[in-house]
Amino acid sequence: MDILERTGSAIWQYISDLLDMGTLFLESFRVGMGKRGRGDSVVFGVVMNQILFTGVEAMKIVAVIALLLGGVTIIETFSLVPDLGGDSLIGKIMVVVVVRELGPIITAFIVIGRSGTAIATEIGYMMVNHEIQALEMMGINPMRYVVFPRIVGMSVAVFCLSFFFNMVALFGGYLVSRFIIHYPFTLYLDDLSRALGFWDVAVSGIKCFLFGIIVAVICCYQGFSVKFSFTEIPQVATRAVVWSIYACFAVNIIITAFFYI
Amino acid sequence: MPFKLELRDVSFAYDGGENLIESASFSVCPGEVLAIVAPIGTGKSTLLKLCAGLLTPVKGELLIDGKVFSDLSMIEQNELRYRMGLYFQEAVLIANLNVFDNLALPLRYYGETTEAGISSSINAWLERLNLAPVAESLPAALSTDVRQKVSFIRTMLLGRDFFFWDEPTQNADSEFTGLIEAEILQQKRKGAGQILTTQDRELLLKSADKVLTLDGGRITYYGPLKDAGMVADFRCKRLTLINRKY
Repeated sequence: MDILERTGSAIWQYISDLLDMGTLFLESFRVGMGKRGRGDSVVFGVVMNQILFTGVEAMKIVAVIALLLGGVTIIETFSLVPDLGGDSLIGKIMVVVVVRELGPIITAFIVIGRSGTAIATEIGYMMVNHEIQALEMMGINPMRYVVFPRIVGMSVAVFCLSFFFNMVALFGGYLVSRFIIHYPFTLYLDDLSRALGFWDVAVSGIKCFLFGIIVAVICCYQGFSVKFSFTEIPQVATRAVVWSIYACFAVNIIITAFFYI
Repeated sequence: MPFKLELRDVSFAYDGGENLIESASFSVCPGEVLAIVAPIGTGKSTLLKLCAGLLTPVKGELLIDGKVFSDLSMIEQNELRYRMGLYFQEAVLIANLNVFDNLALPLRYYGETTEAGISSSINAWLERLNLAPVAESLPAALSTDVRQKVSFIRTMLLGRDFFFWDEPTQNADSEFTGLIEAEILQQKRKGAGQILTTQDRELLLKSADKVLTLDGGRITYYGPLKDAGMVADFRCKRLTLINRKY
């Protein structure tokens, strides 16, 4: 009975958290998009800062990981191709592995590790230091000044980063195929152009956009859950990372199943 | 426009705990100064935050010019707070903004003045309090008294219709104390309602029209200053008000 009770209580807590996160998302957009003109330039500045931090400043690490992933994928593909019966699979595998699946999810992981923890930690500190209350005292709605710009900035940044990731990974694949396996560029390009369809790019974009929203909402929510003590902050940062990873994987499989089954 | 603030049968508790404030009812009219006097840790700041709508009561309601505050939209509530001057002991500033940007943030957000207007009004205050050299400093680099001065400037830049002062002269030097007293009296003349918590006898006698005393979360006296029996403990420079009725 005790186990049942605890399980039920844990499930109810998850459902309650999910509903709260949904409310946070809807409320931030309602407030963020409502009464345009007031505070727009300030909020726009915060959005730009978020894009700079989440997107632009993460380009270096994304480029390195994408380049290596593209190279590894090509090496593995070449080792499999003779068994699978033809070089034409190279493009197909690159699109499926990099563009459809690993590009969006690895980009999301990088963003969770860099920016997600930063958001949860920053908001946690703002809660403990009463900065959120200070914003309210100034008549500034934290939903509009803190949450909304982070959701918008992060979704735009992850969307753009993922596009960048895919381009660099495909370029990494080309470099390996050109210099190690001596696969001609024209052939590589031809394979890719035959394999890459509009929906591959679109689905990848949709995934990334949703990952950005999900990570931002979870991390903001966790940050706001800090109440009294600084010791709560690392705990919520860890929880934000774990929840974000779960959520991204869940959404990834749902979208993949929806579009490709 | 200055407004009347009223608290009607308000009780408050943190996270399901015991009531910190119990059935508080009082009002502050435009041009009136209400002083809340009570020992440390008896809920003065909490009561002040309830009056500013920063905390939600578990029972009762806050009324602004007869309108229930919680019935107002979030935008209306924020616009109302933008016109209030709130000075709290914590002197909280936004950590990642320098002093100038901290002061400019609400003014830029509401966009009622040009950037030049914002700069001139902020710089005038910074010069007046000899804080111009720290305009570019982040809050973490400031001492507590400087942070309190910055917080005071923010209060004066935003406040128009109503002011909340939480122990404004505590830890303030004599010059700063004089400035605070002068501003409270000037705002009173301008017709703004004000609520202040204080243990500063001089400030109380100079500025307050009404006094409210708290004990165990309950109001033990609420009425005109002149009707409150007053015993000043000069040794510890703290003020104790004893209502003759109790």
